[in-house]
Amino acid sequence: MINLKARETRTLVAVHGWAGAVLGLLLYAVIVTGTAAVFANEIKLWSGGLLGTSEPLNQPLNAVLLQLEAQTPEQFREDLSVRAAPSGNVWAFFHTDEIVDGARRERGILYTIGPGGKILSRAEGLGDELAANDPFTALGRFYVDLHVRLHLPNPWGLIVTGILGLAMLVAAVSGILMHRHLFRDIFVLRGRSRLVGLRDLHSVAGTWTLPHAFVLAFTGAYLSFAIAVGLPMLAKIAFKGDVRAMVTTLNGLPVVDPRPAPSGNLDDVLADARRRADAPLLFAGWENRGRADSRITVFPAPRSGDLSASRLIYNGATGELIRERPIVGTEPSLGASLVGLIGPVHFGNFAGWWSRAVWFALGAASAFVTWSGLNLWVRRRADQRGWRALGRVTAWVGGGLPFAMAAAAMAYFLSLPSLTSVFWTPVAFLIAAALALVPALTMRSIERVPPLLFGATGILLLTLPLLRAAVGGPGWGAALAAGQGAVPAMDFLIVLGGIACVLSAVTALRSREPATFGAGSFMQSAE
Amino acid sequence: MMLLGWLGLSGALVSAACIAILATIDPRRRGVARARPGLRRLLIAAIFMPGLALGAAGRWSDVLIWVGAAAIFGWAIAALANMRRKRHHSP
Repeated sequence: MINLKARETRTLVAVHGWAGAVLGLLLYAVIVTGTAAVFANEIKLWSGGLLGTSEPLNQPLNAVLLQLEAQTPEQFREDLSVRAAPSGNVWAFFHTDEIVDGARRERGILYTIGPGGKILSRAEGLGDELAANDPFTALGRFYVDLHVRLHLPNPWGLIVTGILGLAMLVAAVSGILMHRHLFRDIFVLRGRSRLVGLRDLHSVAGTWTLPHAFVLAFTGAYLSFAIAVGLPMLAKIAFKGDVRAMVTTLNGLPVVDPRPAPSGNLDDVLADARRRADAPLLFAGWENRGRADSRITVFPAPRSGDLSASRLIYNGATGELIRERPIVGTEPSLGASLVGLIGPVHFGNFAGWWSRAVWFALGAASAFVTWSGLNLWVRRRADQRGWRALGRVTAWVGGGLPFAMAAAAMAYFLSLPSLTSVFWTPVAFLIAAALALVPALTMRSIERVPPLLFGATGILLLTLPLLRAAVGGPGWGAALAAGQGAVPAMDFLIVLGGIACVLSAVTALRSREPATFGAGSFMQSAE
Repeated sequence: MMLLGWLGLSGALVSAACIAILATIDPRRRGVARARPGLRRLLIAAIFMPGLALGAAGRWSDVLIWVGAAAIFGWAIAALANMRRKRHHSP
């Protein structure tokens, strides 16, 4: 129990409430999409319909890469990225750096290599644009981009989500301080029909998910600001904007030796990396190919039970290991360990389905905390016209966002056969969001809007596995034979989510009383 | 690593059992005077034991799964305990 003076409590209530009222809807959107993005790779695999292998970089690649190199124009052969695609195929990107609008970007040719070295596709362009135009991962990328940058241009989207992370931290800290009996009331729920009951729902859910809220808010803000501000600023101040020079220095390998040299065998390097890492490999970046200072940096997944993994740096000419290094610096350190924790703790990807399932549930709980907090705020001000409008917007976003996300998935599958999913996925999201606005603006009882939209979301979710199969998605047998258990697992989870949405909507619509918005006092029992 | 995830979940279930007992005897929820503080303290300590044991064993992935799953179970238990209460109280 924390005893504060009445004035201090009032200030904290104001900070908590206004932080939520001003940024709550955006925070809700970031949390809901982040909850879906926990399964981003599984969504990409499930929706893409391309069945590769479970460990794509565990196949002979050197010969096929030499063959592709011969087909690639000379100017793009300097660097090569080899990535395990979510579908289980391999993306091989021969590229070179070029300056576009003052920023260093990678231009080259992207090949998709399927099982057995079969070339599935070839595309030329800027690396980030090629990734953004891939129709088979459009759905997963749409959710992730909505979560990471709200589809705002760089760096503003990241800055906004970073600020939202800080707002979540502020709300969590002020929430602890202003609720005198936060932990004593941890089991007290007095029903949602009254204002005090809604407050209980908000504070009890908030208390149980408090550690998670802290961790997610901090790591999310860190990731946003590090990418948008920290690293570009470091490159600008210390390396005159030369990102490559920064990376080379951070790797501890600043030697420049442009003499020609033969290239090592990538298969040998990957086999050695796999043996040392004792885990699947995710990515290999090969710089300065054909030169004496050529380097191959291999990024493995963490070993089973570990939270982070070291990077392995090889001499690209001889294929010998130069060093194993942590995420930051050249030697293991406490700082490197802490930075290495940020990714897995934020993404929840450190223990396969187990950690993802738990992180998904915690994300859903955090979304509920945000939404119930907003509802509480507007209900207490229901006698004021402006706040009533926010109540309608809250109902629209609360129920409309999941509905629009499900509609985007539906449009994705419908447009996948014509390879127009990159266009139709966001367009369907916007159309569905506009449709959801109709009941939010016209229905007399605002409280009935979210259950109605949740019911519609559930129906859309239930149709998704059928739609996936109808447009030629792989069956469960084929997926399991390819070692891609994520396909049946995602089908099952989507159906489960659909049933949960429909049932909760039916229950809420049956039991919900007419709108009970009343003007509660500003200071409730929390104070 | 052997039993990755299973140990975290098992620890969370043990913690959830303690949380459920704590919810059952919670005086604030039942609206009665405070009673049995010793038992409550014991249960609170027991809730954290699985996490401490996993941490001592260096199973950090399982620690994270434990803390997350125990929080979700705790929230669910709080909701269920009050649903039962409402049913008992309804005419």
